[in-house]
Amino acid sequence: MLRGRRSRVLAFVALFSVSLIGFARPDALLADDSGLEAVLADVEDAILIEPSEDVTKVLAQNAPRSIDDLKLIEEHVAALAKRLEPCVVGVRIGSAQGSGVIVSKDGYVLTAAHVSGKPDRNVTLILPDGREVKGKTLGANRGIDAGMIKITSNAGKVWPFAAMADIDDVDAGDWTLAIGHPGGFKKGRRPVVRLGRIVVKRRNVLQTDNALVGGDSGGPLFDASGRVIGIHSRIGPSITWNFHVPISAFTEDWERLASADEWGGGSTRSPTVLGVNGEDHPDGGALVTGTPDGFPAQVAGIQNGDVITQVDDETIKRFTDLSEYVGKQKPGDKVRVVVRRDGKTIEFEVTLADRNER
Amino acid sequence: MTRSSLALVLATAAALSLPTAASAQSLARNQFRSGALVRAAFRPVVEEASLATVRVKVAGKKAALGFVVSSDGHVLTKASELDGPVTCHTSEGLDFDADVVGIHQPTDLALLKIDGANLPIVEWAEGKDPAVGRWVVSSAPVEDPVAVGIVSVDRRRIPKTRGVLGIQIEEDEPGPRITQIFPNSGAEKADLLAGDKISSVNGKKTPTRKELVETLAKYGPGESVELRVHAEDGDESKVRVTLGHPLPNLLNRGAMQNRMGGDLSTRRAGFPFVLQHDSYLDPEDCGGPLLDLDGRVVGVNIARAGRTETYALPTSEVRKVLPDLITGKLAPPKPRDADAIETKTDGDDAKVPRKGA
Repeated sequence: MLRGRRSRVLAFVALFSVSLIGFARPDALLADDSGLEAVLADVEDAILIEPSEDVTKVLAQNAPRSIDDLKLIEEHVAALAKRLEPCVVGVRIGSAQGSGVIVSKDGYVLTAAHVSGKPDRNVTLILPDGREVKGKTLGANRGIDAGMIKITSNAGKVWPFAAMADIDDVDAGDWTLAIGHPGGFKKGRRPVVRLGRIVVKRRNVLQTDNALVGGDSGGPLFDASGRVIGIHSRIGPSITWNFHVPISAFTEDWERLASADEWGGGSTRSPTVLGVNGEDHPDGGALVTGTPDGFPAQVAGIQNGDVITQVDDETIKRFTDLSEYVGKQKPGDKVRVVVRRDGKTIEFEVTLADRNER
Repeated sequence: MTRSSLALVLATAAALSLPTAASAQSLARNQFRSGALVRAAFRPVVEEASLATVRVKVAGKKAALGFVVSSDGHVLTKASELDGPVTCHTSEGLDFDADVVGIHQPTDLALLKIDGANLPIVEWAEGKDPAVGRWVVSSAPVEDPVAVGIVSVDRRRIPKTRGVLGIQIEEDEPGPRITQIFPNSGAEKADLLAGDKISSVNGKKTPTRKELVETLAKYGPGESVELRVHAEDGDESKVRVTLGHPLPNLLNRGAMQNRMGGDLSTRRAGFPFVLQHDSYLDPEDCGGPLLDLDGRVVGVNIARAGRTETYALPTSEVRKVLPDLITGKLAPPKPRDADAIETKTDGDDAKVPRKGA
């Protein structure tokens, strides 16, 4: 018998989204000491909080074993949080907000490509106490979500900055500190600190259980010495699915990012969304297994267990038929969704939405 | 909610495969920050406090945690979860009926009284709030902590948000008429129907759409109101509805992302002071004590507020309110005769009985 191929479709949500289409290549904004070597040469001025031998030993265990272990960790984490705060910034471009981290004394800021967007844009950077400084976006590797910004205010000022780690020193199980501005910078709230561990290390992504949410994008993931090991990028449905761009994406392509080059990715994804998740139904159609709150499908009354068999005049045999059809529509378009529920056929009129609308 | 129903997956989204351990270094689940092995290290921290922590149930269902603050049976918990008969289940396995003897609306704290004697009580922390980065541990009436985390943000005020019924309305007589009920709203749970008309809220007449909206705006999410409802067939009834958060507009990504990873408390805004911590706490595990590594209470968990945030009322603030709760100064009003509510027009909204018929 034919069994439907169960193609479970999962997607991750970028923690912050701005429209990313367009590949204008502006003049590079180059400082004369933009090289990575110059930045690394200054590393002794970076904020570094090396853990004591005792703390290192405790952190190397599978898990803390006693209250004494926990107290050692606590003293160190509290010091890290306090000392690292000054190099964490909020990033505002238009009405959009994300986070970033200063990694050189002359004000290079690492962030996510989906926060900084195109090169040579004006940005406002928000310091932890709420003061604002100006900056320009530099390069972006869209494929891996690495972006760079340079502070342009206060030329000649020495900024507090974090050191960048060597990715080879990073392993699954390492304790990590995530700092950023969930929900965007909020007056009266300093950068928000979360503790976690590296759950998965891959060449192009780090996963941790430091819970992140929209607005954190671009913020730093620190190791136990306060070195930047990753930049917050996106999340999945479980609270332990938090994804970070590995620091190697910045150090290996430093010159390219600093010279305002832009490459990789280039999302052609349609912004139009119905708001269902699901899989192929064995008897044909798209079986709905989730309807996120507030999305068009849920608002219209489509429920888990419904099988979508037709949209407008298009027959839906598999889940991808649904994705493709919706992707061809525009946000605001009305579609007729035909659903099989408890043996009955029900029709819904659904107004499609734009995934990037806030 | 299960993980799959929370999955944010959009029909048009690019499919990405999940990270799997096959080609990557990965960490065993029990060693995660909140994994079983890590939480086990905190057992000595909660050893004493877990004895004083109770499971608060409403109509037999898990509603909150609470903790004993006097050996004769005063129990602190989260007020807005208590919408029915309350019982407390202790670490010794005993079940007590509980009376709500005090409610402090600004902090959402409630004081319960159970009929106990020589009950173990918690030890309060003295002095300043724990600093950002300090461990905080949430106890339950069991051996392991229910959650562990660190302080994420120093104490701050959380402004109030407006509560909503979850309806669309149009002008009509004798009051605005409901044209649409939104799914998963308080209105839907209370079985309101399109076509119903609402003539009063907690006894305050609402003859126009504007007056209805303005009256409801005085209440926050998690608060409940009594509506006088006129059905299309002429039936009149009183309906109690719990207000929710403003419905996320179509693609409010922030609201949506905050729900990725677990449910949130209904009342999660409008607090004079909170300490924000990063423990993963379920809404029904709020109301219990938050401990430092010495097992002393540094706060009361008062809301699961978002994917990255749990709020606790700092101990110094809780202890300011506690005497008024214990002496009865903040006793909830007794349910009054329903007609008295109905004829009341002065808009004295705060004194509505919480346990009305």
